[in-house]
Amino acid sequence: MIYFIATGNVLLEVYAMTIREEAYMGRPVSAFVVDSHTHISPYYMSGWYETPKLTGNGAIVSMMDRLGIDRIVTAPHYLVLGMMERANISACEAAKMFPGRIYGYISVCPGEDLGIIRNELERYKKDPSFLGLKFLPGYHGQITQDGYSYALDFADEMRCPVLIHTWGGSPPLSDIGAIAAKRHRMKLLCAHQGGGSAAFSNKLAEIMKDHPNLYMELCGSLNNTLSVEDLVSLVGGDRLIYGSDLINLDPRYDLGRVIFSTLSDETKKKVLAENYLEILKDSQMGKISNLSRG
Amino acid sequence: MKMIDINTMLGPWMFPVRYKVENGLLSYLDTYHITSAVTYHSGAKLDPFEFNPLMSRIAQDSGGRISACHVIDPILYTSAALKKNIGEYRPCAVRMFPKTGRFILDRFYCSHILSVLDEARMPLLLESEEAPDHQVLPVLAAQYPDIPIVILRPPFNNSRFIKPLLAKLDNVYFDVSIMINTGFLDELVNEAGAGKKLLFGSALPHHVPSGSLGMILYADISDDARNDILHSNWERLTGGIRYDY
Repeated sequence: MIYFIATGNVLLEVYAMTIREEAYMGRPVSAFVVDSHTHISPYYMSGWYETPKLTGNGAIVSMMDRLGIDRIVTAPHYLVLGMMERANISACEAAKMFPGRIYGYISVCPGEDLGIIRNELERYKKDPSFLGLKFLPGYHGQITQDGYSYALDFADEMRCPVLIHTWGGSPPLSDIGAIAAKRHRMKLLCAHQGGGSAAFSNKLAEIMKDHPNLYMELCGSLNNTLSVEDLVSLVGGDRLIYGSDLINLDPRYDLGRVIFSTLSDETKKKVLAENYLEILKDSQMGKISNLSRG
Repeated sequence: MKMIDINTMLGPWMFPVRYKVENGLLSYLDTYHITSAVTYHSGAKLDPFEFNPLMSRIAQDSGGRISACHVIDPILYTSAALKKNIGEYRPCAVRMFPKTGRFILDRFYCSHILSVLDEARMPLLLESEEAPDHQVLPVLAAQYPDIPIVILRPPFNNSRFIKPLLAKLDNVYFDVSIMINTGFLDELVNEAGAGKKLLFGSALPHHVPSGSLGMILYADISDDARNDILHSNWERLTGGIRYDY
């Protein structure tokens, strides 16, 4: 796209680069970017690895700056080991350390006593830096556990997003559909494109047709043979949401899947931020209100 | 920006793929601004005697956009036959599929192939799920030090293998396309001194290059190191091939 700006007697030709052109130059993405699926804090279990000097929050924000990621929403890695309270404290501290850059999900671990889960939800529901809930079923067992059901009812009341891990059929996508059907007001983000493969993405897309409050989140797509263009064709440009799994996974991979794609800039902007901002609109929890860069 | 994609395929497949013929591959290379590709023909897994020569003819007619990679099955080639094949068709690399081809890639079973590749200094491309396990690979690399062994698409959670393999074996290389432990690619280049042993592959037509491009073009490494990954490292390897040894 070429713009002409009048400067005195001269018409200055200004070439506005597309997101894809910026990407080929390795420039920070100029469009607003919200990373909806992140995990701060180190994670070296089970063969996972991050370069140690990149695990601090300052280093993470520097990485965001270099890539052009404006906001991240995070459930710290303590969640994996069932350290619910530690995860929530860590997210709260990170949000205070980098206000307006780092937001939190309330981590929910169903192995904890229901009273503790209730306390955590109450403690953070009025904190504007917490935008929704994060579940890790599969790692933590079935999605049908009581702790999750309680938290889902809470989310429905708050009309907030819930990011639910899915990988390789665990938890079953039919369970995800049943949750979305039962609780219409919450927004359900099904992580990892439905489970990391084309077969699961296709299945999720079918289920999404019946549930307008169900969204597909992108991260961990390294083995999915479907491109981002394919995923948009499957679920629509309004229902795919960018997430990277930072710092569990390097954010450059799934960001690259979007910005180097052949999608229009209009669709890329929806996937990169606008769809997520839209689902926050009627939420009773925190919101991303400042949309200025940095 | 010059980019050589070392991991592409042509030909039929069991499931729908993005293209099957060379015009489809070329179209994808154009879309992603990729200069050229190293390509094997899927038919060569079925019958290498028909489809490896076809792959070389396609490469020859591509105006330098496509280079041929041949598929080698150890039961179908003697040392002399493989040597003749390399001299006649001049592939820039070979692929072997030990796991799905039901053979073991080691000196006992494959010395007649490996000794020729070693003499020819011919790059050997192995998809990670086809590669010898991490205990066998160091032995193989040491026994055949002049074969550049390139592992394609190493999965995540392999960093504890990849780093020592790169550090201790001069002839083991990795494709970085899905090397997505956070910061690991940059660490290998900037701290582990492995930048000369990393390569770019897309896995077209099964995958598109966009994610891999994100990893490389946004890596926090020097432009020289980036160019090494994108093309120079591969050019150095193919420049060492001895077709007429």
